Amino acid sequence: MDHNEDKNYIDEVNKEGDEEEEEEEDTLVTYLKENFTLQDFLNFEETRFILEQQRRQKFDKDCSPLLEEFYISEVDYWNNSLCPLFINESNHVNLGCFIETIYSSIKPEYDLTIFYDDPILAKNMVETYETRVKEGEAKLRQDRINEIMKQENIMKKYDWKNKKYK
Amino acid sequence: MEFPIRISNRIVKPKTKTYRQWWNSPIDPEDSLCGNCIATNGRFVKDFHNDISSILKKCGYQIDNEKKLKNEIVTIIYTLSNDSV
Repeated sequence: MDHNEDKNYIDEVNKEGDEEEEEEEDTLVTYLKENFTLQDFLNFEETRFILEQQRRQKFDKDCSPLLEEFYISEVDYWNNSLCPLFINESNHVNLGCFIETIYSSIKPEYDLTIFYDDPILAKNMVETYETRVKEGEAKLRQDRINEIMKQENIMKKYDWKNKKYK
Repeated sequence: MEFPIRISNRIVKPKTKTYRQWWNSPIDPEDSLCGNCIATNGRFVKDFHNDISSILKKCGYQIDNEKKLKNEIVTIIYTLSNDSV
């Protein structure tokens, strides 16, 4: 094999490797799309954190600057007039409070694209899914038993004479 | 309220009106006409809220709890304002 043949061979192997990797990633994406809902991502702390962080970043990028501009212009306008509106606000110290109030009142919308672009981010969620479902079912069963135990007195008759359940 | 409003180190006049009186009173007693209607604090709060709704709509967001947002906005404005000059 001469130098050129070597290079061609390496390129071919790399190409095959890339194709395999892409195929594997596509399978993972399809698996995620077909088997997990948004709620599954939100139920797992790690993936929920990513979704919440992404939602916040989007809000800070798209909406916060407009809300900041609006708040500052309103406060400045009324502070420069002789009106008592916003008279107790100085240096816009409550801007953060204003933004947080609005952020907490918007309908949460999440975008799962980040997991489809990089399925490895959902690896832990997928791997622990079965265990978590089983744990959840066991907890639900236990809660029901506890509830029944608590209501045990309801099944008994109350003895008004002795002031206790029979 | 989830996010407490801070008032800087200045003397804040005590409120002399009830919340309802403040809502119905003009923003500025000297210049209270806005077209044919009186520019009251209540009207200002409503306009302020509408402006915020427009900004959110423009950014593609929907308000989850309209009543809660209105209450919190009015709390911010009322706390940061005096009821007299």
